[in-house]
Amino acid sequence: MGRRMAVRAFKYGSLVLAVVGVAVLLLVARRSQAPLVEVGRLQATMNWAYVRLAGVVIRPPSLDAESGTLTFWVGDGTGEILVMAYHPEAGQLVAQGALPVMGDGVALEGTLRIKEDLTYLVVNVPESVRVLPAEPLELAVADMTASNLYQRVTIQGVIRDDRKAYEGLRILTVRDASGEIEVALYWGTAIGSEPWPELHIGQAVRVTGAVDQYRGSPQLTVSRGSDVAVLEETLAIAPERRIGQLSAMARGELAVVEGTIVQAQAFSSGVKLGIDDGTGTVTLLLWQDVYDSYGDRERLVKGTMVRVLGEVAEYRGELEIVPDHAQDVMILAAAEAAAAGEDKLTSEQPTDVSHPALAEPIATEPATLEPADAEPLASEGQSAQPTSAVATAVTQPTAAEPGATERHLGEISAEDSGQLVQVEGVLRSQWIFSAGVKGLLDDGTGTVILLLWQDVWEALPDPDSLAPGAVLQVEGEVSVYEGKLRIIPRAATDIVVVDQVNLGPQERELGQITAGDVGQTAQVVGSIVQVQFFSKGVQYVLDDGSGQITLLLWQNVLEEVAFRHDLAPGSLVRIIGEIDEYEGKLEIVPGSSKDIHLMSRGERLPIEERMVNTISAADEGRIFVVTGRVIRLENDGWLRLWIEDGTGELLVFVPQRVVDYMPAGIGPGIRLWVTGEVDIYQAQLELIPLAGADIEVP
Amino acid sequence: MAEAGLLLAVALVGTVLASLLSCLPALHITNVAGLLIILSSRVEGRVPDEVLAMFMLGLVVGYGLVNAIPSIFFGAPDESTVFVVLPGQRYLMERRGFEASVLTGVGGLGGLLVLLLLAPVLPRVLPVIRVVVGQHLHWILGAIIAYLLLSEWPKGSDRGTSAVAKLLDGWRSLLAGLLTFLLSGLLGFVLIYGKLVPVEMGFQNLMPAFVGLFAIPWVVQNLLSQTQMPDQVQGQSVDLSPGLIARGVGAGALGGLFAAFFPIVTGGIGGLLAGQATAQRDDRLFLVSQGASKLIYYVGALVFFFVPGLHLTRGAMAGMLSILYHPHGPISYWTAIAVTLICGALAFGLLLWFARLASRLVTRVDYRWVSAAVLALLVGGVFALSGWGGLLIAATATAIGLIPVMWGSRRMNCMGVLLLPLTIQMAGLGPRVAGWLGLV
Repeated sequence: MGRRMAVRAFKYGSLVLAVVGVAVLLLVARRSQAPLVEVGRLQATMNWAYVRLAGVVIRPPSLDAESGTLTFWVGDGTGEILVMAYHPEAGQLVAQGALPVMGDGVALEGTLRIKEDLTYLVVNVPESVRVLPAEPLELAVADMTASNLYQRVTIQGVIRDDRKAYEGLRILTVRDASGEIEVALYWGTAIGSEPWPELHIGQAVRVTGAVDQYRGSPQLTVSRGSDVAVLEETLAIAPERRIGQLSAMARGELAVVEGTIVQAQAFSSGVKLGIDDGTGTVTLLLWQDVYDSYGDRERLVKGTMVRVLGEVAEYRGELEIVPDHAQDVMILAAAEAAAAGEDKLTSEQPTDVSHPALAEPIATEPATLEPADAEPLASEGQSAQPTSAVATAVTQPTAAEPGATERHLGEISAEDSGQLVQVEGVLRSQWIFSAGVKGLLDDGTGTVILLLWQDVWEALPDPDSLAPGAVLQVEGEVSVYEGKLRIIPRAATDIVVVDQVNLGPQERELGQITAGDVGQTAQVVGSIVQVQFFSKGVQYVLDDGSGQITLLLWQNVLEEVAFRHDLAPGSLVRIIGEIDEYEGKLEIVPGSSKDIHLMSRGERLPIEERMVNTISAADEGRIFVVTGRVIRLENDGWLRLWIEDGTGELLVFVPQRVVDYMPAGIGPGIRLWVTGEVDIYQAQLELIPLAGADIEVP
Repeated sequence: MAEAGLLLAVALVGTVLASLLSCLPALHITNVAGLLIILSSRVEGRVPDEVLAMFMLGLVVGYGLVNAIPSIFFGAPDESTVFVVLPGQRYLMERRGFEASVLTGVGGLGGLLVLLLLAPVLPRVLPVIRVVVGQHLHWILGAIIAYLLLSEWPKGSDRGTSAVAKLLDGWRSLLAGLLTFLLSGLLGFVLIYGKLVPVEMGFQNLMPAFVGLFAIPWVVQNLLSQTQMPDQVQGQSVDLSPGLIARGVGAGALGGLFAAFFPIVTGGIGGLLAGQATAQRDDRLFLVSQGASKLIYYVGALVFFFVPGLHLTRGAMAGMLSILYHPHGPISYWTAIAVTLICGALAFGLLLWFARLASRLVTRVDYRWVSAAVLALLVGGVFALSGWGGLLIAATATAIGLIPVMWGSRRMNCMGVLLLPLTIQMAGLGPRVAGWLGLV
């Protein structure tokens, strides 16, 4: 190996070389800059590389209150990447006010972490994060297109709706003259710690935010309180129209009309007012909730002059104008004023100026009506609800109503709507809803829904006698709701139990149902023997011993079924639905969750709340509730969410049919409460929710 | 999931390959794995991730057991460093290198047994421990640093001609250790915040430093060594009792598990802590416990990656594998456990075979030539993977790594390269220190 060297040389040489080497490395490192990379070009071997990124924040940032971790997504045109800053760095970013919001440009440095299922950048140095807020574009709502995605834009409009998706996310519907858009406010989070202005429906606002998409529609995302300003001026969000100018062509459009109430009529779901401005008449439809929330509803009587902002609609050939909110209806002149004479009428100041869109009444021609008698509204159906808001302005039905005619159910049609009839039939089923009780009445010639409002139900001397199997004589008014015939008794005395029959569990034996029954409504009872999921819902095979039929539950119906997790093999159900045929197979299709009744539950283990680390492969098929925070997600029509609850991670697989019904705004850092079935797919444990309602943001 | 038989076969091939490569001094299996990752990520229609995962598991198991051979047979102490000689090398000089290999292997088998016994409870226990410990890592690592630095004591001969000379003599290695730790730490900051390694090779950014800190000084030491190897004997029995095995495996398991679970802590550090905690004094105990500790550190860290609900990425292998593969549920986990045990059995057999071979060849082959070849391989590998920047890092790291070799301090101080910057980072002071150094 040649001549030997003195070990001493290596001893001191190592010292010198080490110190000099470190000094040189420090010098070189100080002069070098982290390489700028494109997200789309990241590759696995770049894991742990210290790099620079430049792009736009494309989702609202999230700051986890527990861990203090800040996360946000950045897109640079070639791809998207999650950026994370852990507690100390995130705290510093908050302290120095360097938190980006959606739509902001950012330039940042950090360490790349590339894993098989997630790529992200960890910000090590808060000072390396530079937020570059973009100058917002002034746009009308209708001008927003996909090309504006993630751009910051400013709109001006009126708040038309206000709802809270979950704690921290408030969604406003803002409308301008060109259209309306949802504005997502990340409210009350540490990110949006700036004070937010007081906001309520009807206010004119100026909003700056980033354009996002939600279910294919543009949405504006706002994270800073300072990006929302309440405007003092009024904004016109709909054109003013003469009633005579309205036509069916304008359906779906917003319009402002003025006129005098010439007719008033209550119906089961609200109040209809005829409005006339001399050029024509239109029906002002006030749904019950709008009517109930209207402060001056006693003044909505014949002769009152009103100004209305609402959507033009058409119902049975009649034009309607339908306001969304009570603020959309303004009384310009009360009936008394109208009666007092023309001068007084025209000089009357608006009594309700809360809605900016209504604050400047158009010049109206003097009302041509005869002095109004302030005639009370005539009731159409809700006569037996003296305590309701409607009843305060609605008189009891008059004796002039025609007497009830005896009819067979099969003879009754939609044309009889409003008629008083007397029928007799067997109560096949019964279910409770929010305002009373409904039942299916059958006399062999046909079926009809018997609707008992709560006060009628409570006034029954023996409500229990109205159980399925009861033979009833009923007098009530015919109405049509969602295409279904209903008979609505006015009082408890209109219902008489004349007999009781033993109603078997099957209305129709499955084996008797044939293709000839397609289109008919039927009631069946059967046990679930098979469950099959498809892209729009779930198919259950029912068997009653005589035959089988497919129970088809569209996802929207399934979402409303409270006991959906009990719709499993072994459960006995009673279904009312329409018979249909698909690819040669008979189906029964309930129109709503109320048509599905669980008679007995199949054997299954109880639903339990579980920690992730207590769930194992042995639990496959069980239904658990897991609470955790989303740590990452993937989507491709379906959605894969990984949630973490402190004991471990769990994959939540959300099928495509469920995704549309999930709560909005779910992303990394959001805490979820998921109910789902444990499944193992490709050797991985996962939880599969049956419905969007199974995913809750606590 | 690929067929179980295929996965096992691939893992066994990995074990055999790793066992062969492990016989080369200073060659770390993670460097080989890094090359595999690069190849795998660049080949169109690359190897299925699960197959690659099992292959890497096989590699780790083989390396975890068989790498005892170069550390015993190819790390003979020079006279200048004889006072830091380890028990394995002492066995070698006493012609019992084979026996030392067997003792280490027995410890490794014990480590496998510990992993098997713990396997059912790991998915339940580790996630909880991670949550509990997660917020305290910075001070735990700080305490480990303090222990590493404070547990070295003056090693002077007390024969200096003056008080100052005696003081310097005693404190020489101690100061060298502190300097090693400090310089390594500075190097670590450069690695974390510096941009010297090509971004495409980011996943190997620590490789040049580790090669320089640990591998090259080893082969340099071999090259400098003039020790003549004594003929080796291959006994038919080993001086062990069940109680000794249990104590050694127990101590090693403590250290190995600690190192496998905690970030940055290596098997050596874990072994040191566990050895101190269990008051080991016996060379046999040391070898058995090191075998157990080493195996649990290398293999355990990768097995923890498979634990459902945990998926820890501790150690270089798990870190690299996580780029391409994410284990799925209990089946992946139990497959990994089964593969580990079967590969472990194979590796132990190979260890015995290679140890016999090494004990016959050690006096016939000049391991300095082997070391020179390995040195060339290492330098070439660093350049190929990380370019000139990597070479610069490796050269500096080599100089730092030579300090403990030349000055008789703990080589473990080189772990300052990770311990110092990451502990400071976890304490939230990283950016500030990096700012002081002008790196940000």
